[in-house]
Amino acid sequence: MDELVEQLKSHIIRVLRLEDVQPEKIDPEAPLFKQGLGLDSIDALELIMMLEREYGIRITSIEVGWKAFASVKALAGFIREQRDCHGEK
Amino acid sequence: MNPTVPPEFATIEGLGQVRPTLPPQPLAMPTGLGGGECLAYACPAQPHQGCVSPAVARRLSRLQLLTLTAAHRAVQDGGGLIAGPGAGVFVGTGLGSLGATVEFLEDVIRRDEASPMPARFITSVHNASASAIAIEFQCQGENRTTTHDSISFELALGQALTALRLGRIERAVVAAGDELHPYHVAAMNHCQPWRKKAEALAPLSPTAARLHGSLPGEGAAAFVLGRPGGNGRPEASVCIRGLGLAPRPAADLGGIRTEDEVAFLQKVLHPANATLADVDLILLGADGDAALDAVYGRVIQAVGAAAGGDLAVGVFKHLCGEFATASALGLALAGDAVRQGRLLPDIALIASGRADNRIDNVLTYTIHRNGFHSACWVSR
Repeated sequence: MDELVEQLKSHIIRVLRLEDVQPEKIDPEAPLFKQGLGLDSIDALELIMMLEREYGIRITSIEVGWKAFASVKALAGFIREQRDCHGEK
Repeated sequence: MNPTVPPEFATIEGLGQVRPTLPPQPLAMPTGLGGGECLAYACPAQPHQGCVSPAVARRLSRLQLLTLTAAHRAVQDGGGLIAGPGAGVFVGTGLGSLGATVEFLEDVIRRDEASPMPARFITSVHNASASAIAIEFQCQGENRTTTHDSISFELALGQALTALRLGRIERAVVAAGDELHPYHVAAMNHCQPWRKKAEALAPLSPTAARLHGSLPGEGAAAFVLGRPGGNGRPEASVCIRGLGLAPRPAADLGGIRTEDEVAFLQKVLHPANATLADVDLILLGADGDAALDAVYGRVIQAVGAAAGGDLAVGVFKHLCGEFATASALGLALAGDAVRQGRLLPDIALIASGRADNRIDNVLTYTIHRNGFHSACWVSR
C-alpha cells in the first residue's frame, strides 16, 4: 500500500467534504476531474491550497496543475518529485 | 367569523422546519474567549441527511444546509410546485453563514493570507442561502437575503408579501434561519448574558424558576407562499392575513406600555377585519428570561382583557432556544396548528382559553430585544 496515496485520499475527502465517499472507493488511477470523482474548478482551488498547507508545495502553472491533478497516483508522484527536487525525503 | 382575504396577503402552501434535538446540550466556548460551557439548543450535526444530496451538501455552509433542508420540506409539503421565473426566494438571517465565515477568516488570519479556503468564502457571502435554494429548485424570480438582527425573518416575509401583491412573482419560498456558533454565543455574553444555570427553557411557566437570561439555539423554517386566488394549491387553506412591526425603545423593557401593545396587535388584525376576540391562540416569543417573560405576562393580561378574557396562550422557544430568526419557527408552528385545526402538542400552553375548540386563527407576537415588536396573523 502506498502511504502517500492513502494520505492524499483522506485529505481530498476531508478538504472537499466528500462525505459519501470512502477512501477505498477512490481509484488512485482514475481522473480526479470531470470523470472519476467528478471534481470541478473550485475543488481544484481547494486542492491547490491543500497542497500548500499540507506539503508546502506550490502549483506554478496551469500545465503543471493539469499533470499533477490527473489522478491521486499522479498527485502522489508530483509530491515525491517536488520533494526530490528540494532534497527532502 | 370568516375575514375577507386582503389581496396583499398570501396563502401558505407548504411548511418546513429544522429544529434542535432536545434536550439542550452543553456547548464548549472558545478557550480564547474565556472557555467554559453553555447549555444550547443545537440541530443535528447533519440536518440535511435524507433531504439534500451529499454532492450538493458538501459545498454548503451550516446555515445553507439548515435553510435548504427547511425549504425542501416546505416544497415537498406544498406538493413540489415551485420553479421558473415566477418563483422568488426570500431569506432572512440574523448572522448569515457564521461558521463558514469563521473558518475562512481564521485561516486567513492564522496563515497570514497564505492559503485561503475558496469554498468557505463562497458559502460565507451575503446571499449564499437564498442562492442555494434558488439553484436547488430552479427559482428564477426575485432572490433576496435580508439581514437585520432579530427582525430579519419578518422583513424577508414582508418583502415576499409585497412581491406577491405587486405580481412580480407567483410563488415564493420564504426561509429563515441562524446557526449556533461558539464564537457568537461567547460574544453575546458581553451584552446579553445567557443564563448561568444549566436549566432548559420553560418560558412563562408558573412552576419554573425565574432565571435571568435565555439559552442560545439554532434552526430554520421555510414557507412556500402563493397569491390568494393564484394558480397554486386551491386546497391550501391557511393564509397569512396580517404582518406588523412596531419600533420601541430597545433598552426599556419596563417602559413598554400594554395599551400600545394591544393597539399594535389590533392594527395587525384590522386589515383582515378581525379583532382580538377572533384569536383562538396567541403564540408568544417568550424565551424564559425572567425580565422578558414579565413583559409578556403584562401584555397578555391586557390582550386577554381586550379579547374578552378567554384567550389561549402558547410558547415555543423551549423547542429551539433563542436565536435571531426563531420567530420563523413560531410562524411555522402557527401555520401548522391552523392547518390541522388543533393545538399541536409541541406548543406549551400557558393559558388554555378556548383551547378545546378548533384552532382556526393564530396570532404570533414577539418582543425582540433590538426594540422591535412583531406580530403575524395566520388563519383560514
